[in-house]
Amino acid sequence: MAEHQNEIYAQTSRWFAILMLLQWVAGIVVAIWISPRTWAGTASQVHPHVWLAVFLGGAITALPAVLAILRPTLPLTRHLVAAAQMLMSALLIHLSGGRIETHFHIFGSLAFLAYYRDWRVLIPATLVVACDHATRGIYFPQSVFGVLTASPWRWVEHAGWVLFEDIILVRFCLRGVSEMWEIARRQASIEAIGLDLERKVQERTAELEQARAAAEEANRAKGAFLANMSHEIRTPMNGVIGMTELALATDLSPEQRDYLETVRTSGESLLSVINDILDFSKIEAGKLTLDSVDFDLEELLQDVVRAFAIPAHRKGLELLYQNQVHLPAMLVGDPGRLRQVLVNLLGNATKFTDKGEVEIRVVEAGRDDRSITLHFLISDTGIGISPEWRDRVFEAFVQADGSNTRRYGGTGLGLSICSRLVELMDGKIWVESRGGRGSTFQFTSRFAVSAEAPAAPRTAAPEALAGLSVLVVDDNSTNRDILRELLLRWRMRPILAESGPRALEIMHREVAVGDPFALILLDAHMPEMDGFALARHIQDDPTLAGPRIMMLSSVEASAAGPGLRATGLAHYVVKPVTKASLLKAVLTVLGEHGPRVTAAYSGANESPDAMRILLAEDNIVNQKVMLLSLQKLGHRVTVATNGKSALEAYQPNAFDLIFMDIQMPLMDGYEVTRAIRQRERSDGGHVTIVALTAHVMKGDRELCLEAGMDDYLAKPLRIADLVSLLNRWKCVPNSSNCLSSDSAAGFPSSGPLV
Amino acid sequence: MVKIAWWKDVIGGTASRLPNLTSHSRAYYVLLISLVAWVGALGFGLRTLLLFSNTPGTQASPPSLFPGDSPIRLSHDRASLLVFIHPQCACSGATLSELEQFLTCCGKQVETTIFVYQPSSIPREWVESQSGLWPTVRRLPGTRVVRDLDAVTARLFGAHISGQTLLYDVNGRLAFSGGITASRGHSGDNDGREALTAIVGNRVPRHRHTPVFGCALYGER
Repeated sequence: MAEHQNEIYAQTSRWFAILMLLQWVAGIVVAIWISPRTWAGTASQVHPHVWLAVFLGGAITALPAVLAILRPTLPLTRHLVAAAQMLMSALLIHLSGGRIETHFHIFGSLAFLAYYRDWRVLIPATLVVACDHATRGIYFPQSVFGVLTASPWRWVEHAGWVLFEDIILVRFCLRGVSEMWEIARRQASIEAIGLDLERKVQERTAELEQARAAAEEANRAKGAFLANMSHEIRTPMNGVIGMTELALATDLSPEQRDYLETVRTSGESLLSVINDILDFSKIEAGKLTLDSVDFDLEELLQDVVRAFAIPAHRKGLELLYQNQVHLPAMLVGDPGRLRQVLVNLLGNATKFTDKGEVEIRVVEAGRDDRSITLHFLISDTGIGISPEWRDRVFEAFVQADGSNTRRYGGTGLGLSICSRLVELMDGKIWVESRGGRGSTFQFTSRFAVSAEAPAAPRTAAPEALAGLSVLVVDDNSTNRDILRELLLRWRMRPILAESGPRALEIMHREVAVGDPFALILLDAHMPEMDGFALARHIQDDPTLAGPRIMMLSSVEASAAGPGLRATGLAHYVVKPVTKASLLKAVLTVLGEHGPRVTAAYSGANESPDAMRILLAEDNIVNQKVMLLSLQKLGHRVTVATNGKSALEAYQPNAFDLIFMDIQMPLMDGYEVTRAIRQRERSDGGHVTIVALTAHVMKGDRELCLEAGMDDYLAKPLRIADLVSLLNRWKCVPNSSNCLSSDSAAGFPSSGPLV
Repeated sequence: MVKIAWWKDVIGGTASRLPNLTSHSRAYYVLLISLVAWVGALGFGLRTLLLFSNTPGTQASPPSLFPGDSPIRLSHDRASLLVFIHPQCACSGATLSELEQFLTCCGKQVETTIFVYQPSSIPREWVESQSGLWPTVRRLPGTRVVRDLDAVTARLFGAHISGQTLLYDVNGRLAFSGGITASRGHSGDNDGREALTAIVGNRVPRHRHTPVFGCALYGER
């Protein structure tokens, strides 16, 4: 309020300063205009009014104007302004010859003074008027009242009129001040409310901050709980599945084998359910984040389809794979989660299809300089989904038909998880299906193109393949079309045959015209005459000899029987055939590079060389599973039951590899690893340390690598994974370190097929 | 106490509000001295103004009987009103203004003659200058304007100051002598106009002689 009042005082004073200066000038102008000179006959001189206007007007104006400029808020300033304004009125009246109109200057000035909103300034103004009239009424009555004999109290009448205006103006000032106070009070009230609101906001913010901290704490606790639960569940599951696999490798009666197969299947189903639940929990808790690493999509797709080759074959399904995209060498994304989605959808397709085929197809949906959007289609000829369930299959805990849960098993979380994962991959997922006529699950996903390697087609065929004639023999038309498309893309000349006899007929015809086939691709399983019989026919017929024969089969070479070599096959490829695998096989067969008979069926059953392994594991069941598995694979194993024992057992060059459990008493796996690495820094050497843990939460792998470990094996343990890992770290016996060998042959049940 | 506090407030001297204007500060004394000087200057100026405005000119000495050698004849049916004007006297504008007011009410009861001073050494244009009183004089209704060459007539009637007004009755007797403004160049009610009005209205005026405020007609104020 005081600040606002001061603003008014200052502003009004400045206005008066300007006004007074103008009045001074106006007074001089008036004096010069009305009475420029005074005369005595013909002589004249400047009229005293002019000098009075200059000097008296200047004197009246000077001090108040200076104060109004320099001290505009000073009370004295406005009182002097008030007095000076009245004196200036008197001067102007005088200079104008007492014109009645000039008297309005007094009343206008009084009104203007009320701008100060300070009624007290009217006091000096009124006093000046009253004193002027009183003095002149006494000493020069005719100058103010026009008569020499005016009543000495007539000045009171004049002052009374001024007072009349004063009363109105005082009321105006008081009213103005009152309103200013009211406005100030309201403003203060608003500010108080604002402050109160701000305080409340701060309080609420603090409360929210606390709540957020509590929620984050709860979230951390939940995360820790998930990790612990994951660990606590996987550890016994490791025992169940591992021991079952070991037991299955022994001599068993059919009944016992059946029981144990059921145990293993149940264990794996339970593990799958647990994985689903843990994933779903992480998604719901918003804790699931995707990795962003370089990966080879073609390799990933081949791995996935290979994994489903055997289950599909067992069900008598044709598993087809078609990649129509010229993929960049490396993409950036989360290969693990993409694999999870593909495995889930392919698993469903396989699960819900009793006959016919399952196809996985990849097409390009968009591309720019830095990213590529892929469209994945997983089609089957299974039971399909009715329209009323189609929109709900991606909801959690939903299966298209409640009875399916009982019939096919599953939590109903798989598709929900896929849906969330696809969303995280900046894509969308949907399904097209008609009940009883199969389904096509589709999803898109966007990946950045890695800057690590230049974008280039991966399966560009060498010029040598151009123009070569190829005979494709397969009873499945889709398969024939896929092969034809692949071969045409490499500028080969494919001719298709739907059966063995038809193939022989075509071969004879081509030989007759002098254009024998350079390569024959045979499907192993065909009605009437299978691929092996056809191969033997070709071998036995000297007119048809010459072409290289490749067998395409849903079963592995090892399962094809000992007479495989007798058929004269140049190569054996497990379906589904991928573009890369087929090109590699074709080039191998036609002598472009590599051995004609691969490790896959020449040495797949051979064991790796024996390694000296230290197993640090405190859990008795896990210890037993690992010990038996490693011994069965022909390795020498030393067991340490806790971290401290493991560190004591460690000696430079004593072991080729150490399996290190993470959670152990006395010293955990991280500490032991750090201690070993510390010793190696002084003693030299580098022993391969592989983390062995049921911790499968995001970041666990990084923690292991950070501690100095070389690799990571998640529980529950799969024999295939173990063998793969050992092959990867296979080393020269008795050497001090082992090197990773990605080119090593795989374990029979999961290794490379070509 | 209250009064003292009020004045302190007016000067703005409370330390809390204006720390640089405490009673011991230099600015405070400068302000006080300025204030005193200002009041003094104004007092002096106003006094000068009042003295100048209210100091009448030389009192006239008109003949008590209308002189026979006057350039104009005495009216025998109405009173004769004679006004002597210096054409360049700014103060006489107020006289003419008052005369106009008088003529508005009582013009038919008097025969008015305005003698406008005309020096023989100066061209006529000096008298008839638009910046002077000539236009106003010419505009007054029912008046006779006579150029008073070298103020001969003014001297004859004993008039010294512009604005000198004389009223002779039908018998040639002097009824009023003086000015019809309250002060120098100041319009408004005045004793002179009131006296004229009373005389022509056959009432007894309060004054028959009033001071004259204006420029000297012929070389003296």
